[in-house]
Amino acid sequence: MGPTSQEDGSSSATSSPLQFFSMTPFSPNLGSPYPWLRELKSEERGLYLIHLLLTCANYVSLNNLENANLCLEQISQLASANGDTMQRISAYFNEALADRILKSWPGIHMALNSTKISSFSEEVIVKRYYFELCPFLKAAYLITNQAVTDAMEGEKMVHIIDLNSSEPAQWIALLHTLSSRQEGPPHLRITGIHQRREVLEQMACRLNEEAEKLDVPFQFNPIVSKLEDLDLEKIRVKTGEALAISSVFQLHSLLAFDEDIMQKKSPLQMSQKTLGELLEKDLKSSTKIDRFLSALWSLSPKLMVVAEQDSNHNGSTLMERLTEALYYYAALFDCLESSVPRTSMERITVEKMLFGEEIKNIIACEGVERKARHKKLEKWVRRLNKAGFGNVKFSYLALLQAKRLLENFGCDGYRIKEENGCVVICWQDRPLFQLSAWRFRRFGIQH
Amino acid sequence: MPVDLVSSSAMTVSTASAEASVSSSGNQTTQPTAATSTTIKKKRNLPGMPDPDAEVIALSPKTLMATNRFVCEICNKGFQRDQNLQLHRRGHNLPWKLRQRSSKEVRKRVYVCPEPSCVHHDPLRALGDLTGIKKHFCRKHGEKKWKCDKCSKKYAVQSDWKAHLKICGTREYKCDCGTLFSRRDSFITHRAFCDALAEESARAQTGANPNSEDEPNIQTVDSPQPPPPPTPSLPPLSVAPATALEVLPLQTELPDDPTPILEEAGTANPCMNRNCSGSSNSSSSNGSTTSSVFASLFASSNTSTNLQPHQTPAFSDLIRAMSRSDHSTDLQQPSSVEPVSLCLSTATASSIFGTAGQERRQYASPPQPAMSATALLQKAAQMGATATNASLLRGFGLVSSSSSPSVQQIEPDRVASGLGLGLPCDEGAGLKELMMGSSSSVFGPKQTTLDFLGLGMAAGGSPAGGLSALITSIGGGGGGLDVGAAASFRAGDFAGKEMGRSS
Repeated sequence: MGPTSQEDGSSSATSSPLQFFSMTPFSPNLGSPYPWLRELKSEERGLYLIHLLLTCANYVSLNNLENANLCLEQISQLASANGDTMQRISAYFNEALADRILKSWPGIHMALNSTKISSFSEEVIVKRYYFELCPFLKAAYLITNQAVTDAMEGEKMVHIIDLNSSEPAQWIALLHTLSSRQEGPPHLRITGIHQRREVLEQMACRLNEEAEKLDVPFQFNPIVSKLEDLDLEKIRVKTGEALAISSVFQLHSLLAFDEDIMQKKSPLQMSQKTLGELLEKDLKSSTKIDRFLSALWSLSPKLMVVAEQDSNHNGSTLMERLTEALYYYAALFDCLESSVPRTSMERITVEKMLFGEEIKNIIACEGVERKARHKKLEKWVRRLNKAGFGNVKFSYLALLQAKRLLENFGCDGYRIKEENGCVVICWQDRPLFQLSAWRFRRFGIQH
Repeated sequence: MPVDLVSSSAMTVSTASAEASVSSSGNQTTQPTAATSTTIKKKRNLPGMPDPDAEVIALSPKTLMATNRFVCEICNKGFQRDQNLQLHRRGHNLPWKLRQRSSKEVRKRVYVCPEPSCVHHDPLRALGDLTGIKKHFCRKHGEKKWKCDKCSKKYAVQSDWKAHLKICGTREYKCDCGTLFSRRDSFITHRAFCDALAEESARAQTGANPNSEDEPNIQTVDSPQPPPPPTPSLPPLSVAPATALEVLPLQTELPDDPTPILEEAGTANPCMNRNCSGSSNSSSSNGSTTSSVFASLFASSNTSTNLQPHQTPAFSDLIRAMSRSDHSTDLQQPSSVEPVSLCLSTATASSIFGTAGQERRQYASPPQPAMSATALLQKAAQMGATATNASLLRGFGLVSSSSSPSVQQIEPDRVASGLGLGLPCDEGAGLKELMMGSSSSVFGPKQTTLDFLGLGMAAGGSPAGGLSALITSIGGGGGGLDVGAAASFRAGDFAGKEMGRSS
């Protein structure tokens, strides 16, 4: 490590500065013998990383793999999953870009990923950590619950469809709220949808237990299914029930199935009955998301609360997505940085298993694989309006509670604001999450 | 003529029932037998109905309450049952046209409440049972004529009243403060609230001793905590690798945190340490705190001190449980749902959305004064937009036409001192040479670089503002890099490169 390398380094003095840099051991974290590298202030390093990331992405999108490789190397030297915010982000973006390059050799990519052990319990744990370390899920649940409570005032029978039922905390809170209602609790029925039976069983167990304690008439109906394969026939809505639908970060994955892909599969993914005559003429031209929303609309829900990420990660070009994602995840990582210490394993787990995977999906995947197709608020508003839903404003109480929650979360940067009746949660100035509430609008689907 | 028929039947109907409440929405069909005012053709999407064309029937209040609901339109005789009315009508020898009932005899009927302000007035929210709608109307919009002797509770429907008589006084819960409840849930709510009030008043007097009040309340409620056999109070402290408890050391590091949150929690700070342990205990007492209590607490006070004992940082429990599971390497086991359930069982309504971030307060400002990533990005965007300001990046030796002398001097010096070699000149020379030698400024469209690469300007989409400028400059900058790389390759410097990497 010592002088030898330097001499060689010095002999190639005419090489590019990047080469030069790569020749010197670049890990200030490991106590490099080159103290001046440590003097490379984190700000400069951060700026350099940004520059490298953009350059690399540029090369990747131009398919200039050699230079991309150089950049990746550079970034690897500077980035670190244990370092400061910019270093961490760069590490994950770096990985995503490399993954993308590797996909052009599908054999290699598959072979490298074939022995991965992924247990779903890990996913559950990661989600748990995320729930605790960041206030976003909690705020989303709080607002959803308040919207449901407001909408269901006076209702005797409430039916809630949870499009991704994995967090009992949300419904436990609702049970508490409903049980202390002035006119007494309604008969509550929750239909939970999830891919995994065990998760649903867990939910059922917890919720039944809680409802028992609170003396709320309750029923949990599990549906084991992927969202895209959901058969709405299985959801039975009874007469006189007031229906509410809760979708937390679920709808965007349906955007992955757009027309080009759909035509390769059988055109009728959902049973004809649920769509109704009105939609028949549109079957051929509508996309999966539209069909799904129509099917939901046909259940005539009293309330549908949609929570999504508020950022455009669905751009058609890599550079577009990368820059948007850079801003977005920078804000998210900053969030964690200001509330959780760097050494926290939970934080690293969330960054790697949740954010890192999202980043990888946005950057490295295409087509059906790319599920993380986040869109901005106005896009969702437009789509939901088109699907026949009318906007419902959130009550002042919902906003207030969420604001209090964020204020008390422990650090200063969270902001919450209202936009056209929808709620946007921001970190400093960067919008991160959007929540909107909708109702079945009778004179429905506009084309 | 159909018009006459309609109007005549409408009039007949209206005489039969004095107030005919007409809820019209377009179609009206005549119903010669039932005393309905209008029938609304149901819209397609009544949820769950096997027959989407269920008939929605809107009855007037009088009709609803009338015992003789079925009225013969010929002689105005009233009957309690439809069948009886039919039998009677046979006697009138009606012409065949009028004898026919509605063709859809077995159509399902749903009923709407005549009260316009009621939820069930909307045909979409109609109820399927006539008895049901009658009872509903009585209960909601009717006068309460039946009264219970014992508790003087009033009822509008006789059957409700009878049912109440059976259970009045049979089940009662009593709170320590003396209030009686018949419902278990309201009892539990009150009890939690009651404790809260007691604690609040006590603390208001003493000042800052939330935990001492916490302790006695534990006994009153069943702890919903999961089976970790050690008593709830001790293990959290001992098992403490959790991030929640990392609060403690950090507290001392940030004595002068100016944020208002900390000020608010000023009184709380000294108790924080104890609160962490107390919190797990208070989680049990909060087992049934409702979020309405939570909300009211929010509404009532801005200070966080009130919230502390009530918000279960069940997260701390969760994190502890998680870390416990971490330590016992439960993660990989198939029964690893277990630790998750452990966590889940301690979560309660208020605690869920509770301010567990109180423990996080200490992180308000991270010890390192590092620039946030967002700020860095904005800076980069600015730099990209104003390309001439890219002295920093130029300083990295990428390329510069008019290199700022200061930067150039620094680099070689740094290198020299860092490397501790006697070859500063070469390094410097190399850098300078490259900087001069390489074509031109990276951050601007220069012919040479473009020609060399044959690249266009924009390298892809048009992302946000300043960054796009940066990117486009990178498009040219790629040329700079490439030049360098090419130079190195030309120099045949693989060996050097390898060595560099391996070091």
